[in-house]
Amino acid sequence: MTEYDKNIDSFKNLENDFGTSDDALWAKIEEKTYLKKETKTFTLGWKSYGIAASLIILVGMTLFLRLYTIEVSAHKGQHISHELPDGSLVQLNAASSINYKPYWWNMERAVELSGEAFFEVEKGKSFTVISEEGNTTVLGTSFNIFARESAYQVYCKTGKVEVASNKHDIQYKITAGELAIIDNTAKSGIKKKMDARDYTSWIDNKFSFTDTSLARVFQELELQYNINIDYNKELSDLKYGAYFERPQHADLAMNLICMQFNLNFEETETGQYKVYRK
Amino acid sequence: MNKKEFKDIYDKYGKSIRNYLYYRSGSEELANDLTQDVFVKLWEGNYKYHSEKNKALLYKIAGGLFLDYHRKTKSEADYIAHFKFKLKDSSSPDENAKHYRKKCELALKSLTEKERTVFLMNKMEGLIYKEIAECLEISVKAVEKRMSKALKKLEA
Repeated sequence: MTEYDKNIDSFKNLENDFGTSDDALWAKIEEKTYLKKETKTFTLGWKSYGIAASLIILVGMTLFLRLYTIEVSAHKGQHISHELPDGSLVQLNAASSINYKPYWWNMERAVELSGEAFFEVEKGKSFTVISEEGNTTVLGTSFNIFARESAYQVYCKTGKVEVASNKHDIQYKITAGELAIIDNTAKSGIKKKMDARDYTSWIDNKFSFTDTSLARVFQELELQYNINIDYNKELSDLKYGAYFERPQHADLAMNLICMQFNLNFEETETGQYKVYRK
Repeated sequence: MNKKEFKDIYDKYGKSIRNYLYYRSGSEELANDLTQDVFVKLWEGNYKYHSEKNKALLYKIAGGLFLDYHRKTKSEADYIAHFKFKLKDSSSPDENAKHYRKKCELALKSLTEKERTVFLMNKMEGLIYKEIAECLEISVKAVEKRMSKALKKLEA
């Protein structure tokens, strides 16, 4: 064997000196391949998705609780009694409706009302009834609100009630047996002692009118019986007073009222009444 | 390719690939890094498991990565580098062996990258020409040619 051959041959006895073993290198490769996918990205992804998802759920839940609204409405010729989440009672007169947020009730006791309703409020945080023309705030009492068209009347049966206009700086504090009337068109209002009967009799299915215009009386009949009454407008200002059990049928009520003024009426078709002088 | 097959490929060819990258680059560090990259590529490429085909593929990936690296760094000068080997049987390091090792390390400087790679695959790893040709996807003739050139240079 020549010197040259020996030289070439001696490569056999050499090996590379990498400083990193095959196993250590494999560990690094593992880290960069399937371990990376299954643990690192997975946990990170799971966490951030989790946080994002719970935030969305939280916001969504809050919005839902805040905005979810229950509407209760009584049609013409219908009375409805509805219990609010805290046990407060609402009696809805005909052609009236309320809106409230049941899941937000503990944060804010607020009811939107259009029409007429009688409230018996459980004691607790302030309780507000919002209508187009005015707001009524109480702590715990019973009262009647009449909020139809531009009229706004609150009758306080027990406790204390605060009534405020939504349009002008008119505000009254009334106690049991007092009535507050707000007239936004005239920018005025009054507060006076009144008999409970006229304002709360509807709850017991009674009609109670004291010196009430015939127009108002007919309007009430229209709502209570879901009928239409056609009459000469010159009759509108006639004053009527009576207190009677609400008859089953509109005919009987019409009869009672028309008799008083010596008027005649006929039902031209179902639900259509025509009133005329004899 | 599942985890077990992937590991199997590494056990079979990991060493050779690292050696191959070292023969070409003359840098242990680069060989270590690129070997990892080669296997990461193999895993991510989602190739079918086939021992023989995977072997050629690995060499191909390794060659490609090495060229990429050089294109990026343009540092051809430093891989003509300093080969440092260790003796396989280092328990009885006699002076003679040390002497030959030095000689070997120095001798490689005169070879081109291609000659060196083929030469070391043959002499150090003990691969026959046919195997080298398969790995590098060149003809056996080309391997012979590179070997004879290398041997001639070393003789001088």
